[in-house]
Amino acid sequence: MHSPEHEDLALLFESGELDEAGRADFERTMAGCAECRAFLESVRACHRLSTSARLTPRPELDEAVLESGSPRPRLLDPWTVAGVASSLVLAGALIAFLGRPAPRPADLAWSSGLEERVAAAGEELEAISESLGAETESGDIDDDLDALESAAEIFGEQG
Amino acid sequence: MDDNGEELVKRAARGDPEAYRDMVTLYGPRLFSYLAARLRSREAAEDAYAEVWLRVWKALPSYESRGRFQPWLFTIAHRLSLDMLSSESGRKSVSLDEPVEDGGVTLAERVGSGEPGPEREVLGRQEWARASAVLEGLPEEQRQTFLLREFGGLSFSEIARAMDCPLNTALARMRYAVLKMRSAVEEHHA
Ligand SMILES: [Zn+2]
Repeated sequence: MHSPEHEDLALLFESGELDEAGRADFERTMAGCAECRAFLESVRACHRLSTSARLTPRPELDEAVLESGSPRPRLLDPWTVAGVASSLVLAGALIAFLGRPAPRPADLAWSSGLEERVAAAGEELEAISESLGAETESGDIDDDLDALESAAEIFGEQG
Repeated sequence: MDDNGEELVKRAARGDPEAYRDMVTLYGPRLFSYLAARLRSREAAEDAYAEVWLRVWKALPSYESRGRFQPWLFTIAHRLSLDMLSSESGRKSVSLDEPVEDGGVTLAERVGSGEPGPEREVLGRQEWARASAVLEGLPEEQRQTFLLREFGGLSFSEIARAMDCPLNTALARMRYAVLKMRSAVEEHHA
């Protein structure tokens, strides 16, 4: 007799979450239950439908994503700090890229959230610079911080 | 794809920029499709897409193999969309049936005109438009479960963890979603 439990098993069967014994059990159940087979076919139809509906992000968006974030080395060194700063600037550029010329009032919450994140990241960066102290050639970092501030301004303009 | 993906993630976490690029290319369409369906707006999906990758990039150096990468990625996306939807409750979202501002086509049509593939030829835009209308009408938890499973590729245990609910609840939500989608698709063929 078909039941919702059969359908749960069909879902777990399809998602690969049943162990070998569970799979064999369900295959036996399914062999004797037309509703189980129909349900499983529906699950597969949903999957085909979703796969066919896959959207691709615009290439410019992927490029912006790749520019704004590239993996950081695990060890912190002055170059890393400069790299983090540059990445933050690029994050600003990404935000600028994503910004619309005339944001609707409801967009403000979002862009101000991002602005806070850039500001927080700037503070984080300063703290890292301080912890590195005199060993760091700070010129590049200052330049990056300036650029970071400009990025934050771009933001402000959008807001 | 998963093994390949996990390997890319490991290499990207070690600082390999090529691996990071490949990783974005590999997971990008799934992630973007999930966000577009979840947020019902291409514009919001683009903001969220950039934000999710920014969060991944920030967390990547400390990413150890704590299980599969994909559920981790989609849990970030799931939480971010919840935040976006709750903080933007006043913001107008684009329904799948409504024309988007830059061209007069509906999001459903755009979704239907996404990645080319032989399956799309068979299933067609109409079918997806119908299915997405059903998806729109599902209760929020069923819709989230369906999208995490179908676009995110999460297992039901992973969905239960991401949505902080028992496994049986995740299964029941998917069951209802599938049955409703089935009746929509069957009606279409009838
Ligand atoms: Zn059955």
